Amino acid sequence: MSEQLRALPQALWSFFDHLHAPRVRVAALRFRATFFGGLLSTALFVILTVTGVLLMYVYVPSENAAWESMQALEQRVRYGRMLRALHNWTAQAMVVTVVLHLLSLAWRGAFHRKKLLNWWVGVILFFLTVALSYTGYLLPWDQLAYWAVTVGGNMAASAPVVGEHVQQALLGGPSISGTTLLRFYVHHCITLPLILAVLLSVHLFRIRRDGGLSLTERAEAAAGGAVTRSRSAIMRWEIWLTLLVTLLAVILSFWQPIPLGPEADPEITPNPMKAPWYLVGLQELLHFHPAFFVTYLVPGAFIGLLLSLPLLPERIKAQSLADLGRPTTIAVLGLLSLVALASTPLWAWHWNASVLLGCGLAALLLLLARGPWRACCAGLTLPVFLLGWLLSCYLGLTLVAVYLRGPDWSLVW
Amino acid sequence: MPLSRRAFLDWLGRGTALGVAALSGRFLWSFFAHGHERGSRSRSYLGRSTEVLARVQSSREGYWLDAANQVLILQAADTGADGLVAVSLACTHLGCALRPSQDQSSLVCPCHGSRFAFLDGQGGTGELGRVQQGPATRDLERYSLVRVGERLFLEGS
Repeated sequence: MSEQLRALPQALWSFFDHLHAPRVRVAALRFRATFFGGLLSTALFVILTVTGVLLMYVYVPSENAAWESMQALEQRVRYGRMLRALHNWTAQAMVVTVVLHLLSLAWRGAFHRKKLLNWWVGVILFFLTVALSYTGYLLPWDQLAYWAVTVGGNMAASAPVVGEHVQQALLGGPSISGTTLLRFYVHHCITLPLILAVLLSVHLFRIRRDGGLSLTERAEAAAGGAVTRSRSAIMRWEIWLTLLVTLLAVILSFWQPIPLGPEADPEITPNPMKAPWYLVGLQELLHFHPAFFVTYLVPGAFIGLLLSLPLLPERIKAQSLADLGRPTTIAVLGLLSLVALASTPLWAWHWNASVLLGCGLAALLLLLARGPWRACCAGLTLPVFLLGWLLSCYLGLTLVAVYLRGPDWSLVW
Repeated sequence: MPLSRRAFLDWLGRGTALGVAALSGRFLWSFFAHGHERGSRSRSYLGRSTEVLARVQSSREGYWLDAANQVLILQAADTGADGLVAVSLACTHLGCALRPSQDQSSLVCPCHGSRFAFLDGQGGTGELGRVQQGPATRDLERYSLVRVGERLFLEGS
């Protein structure tokens, strides 16, 4: 009996152990090889789960009590302020690490056909991460939360025919109410994390089945395939890294708490009203374009692009930009610039100016990739360039919205 | 070639899976999207008509902003019941609450910058609520003010 008891920790350890490949190449463990995007995202998800469960002990999902319960958390619960800040900071960080993870995988050419499933699961995980952030955003029931979700519901209603039904399914009524809060609460605490946890397990397991972490050809060549380490060593290393991330996040949360905004007031919209920073780029687009285009077509096209990347012909997927002929390069760059320029009216000079600046930077990057940086830019393939371009455009929109938009959504500096 | 027993069972299994998925989807959809009312005319109580009139007339700006009902009431030279006009303050773009601009010439949305015509300086209301600047495309909703005895109601269109 005692022998069986002694074997228990080992049995438990071996379950997690077997999620990993038996041997992992040392080259795959370097920061430069993977940027640790996946590991960091997973670590952040663990922190979010733990802090989220703790927050559930205090939070009351009712329109009359939600904001007060969060105020009580900040003022009366020991370490309450730090706990909320920790949950908030790690949630923001996870959006960033997941996007960087996606970019770094594209750079490593990880969307081979044989890794098709894991790429698709990853794309779903990305959108689950954003959905979790958005649903969590409403829960404090403060002013920004209330109005961000009011706008979100009306955005959903912009679709022809089904729009109002989608809004109804999202909000639980024609407009935001206590029902909406309860819905978002259950989505945020149960439905979405559960789906995410299941898919994350599949995602981690497929790394092993797909033959380990993806590396660039350069890193692969440097690794030589020879030097490996046992998975137990790697698991210990992962735990240390998770602890380190937790420590840094806790220090950040003590140092920079996130104050609770004023309670939701259906009578007054704050001026200006800004969405959370990772969605404020869409808000800037809404200033120029019909809501249906911004709500359904833009994200839809982006999901479609991400899902279809692995299905592109090998010739296009692996086409390095450094090896592209000069006329083709100019044509690609010109086309992308025209698309970006055509996407806003001509009077939107600030946006047009930033597009031109972006084109200049992209051209400079290409020049460097063809010249002095040739060796390290082997991963700069057409899909990587396209993704980088789209994300830069979005980053531009975000920067304009965060720093240059004032009262009445007019330009200020 | 006749359908083998195995192939038949495979197809049966796939069909069942598809059916179960469709039914679950249908169930979830109706569960979440139930009870949606549309096109209902709503009527809400504003106050006694003399009080409302007094509130509008005694205000320095010449209008009364009823935030609870998201409506702005002003007296106009050119219109109906007690000369009172009511216009919705919910932006027709994505529903944020509008507020008057500094010079009172427009109602401005704090979320995406839409502008709607407000006071024209002559006391007319012909342009009131018309879109001046996008992204909104629809003019603001005008409410009818209905008097029942001494009481004044707002009626949505």
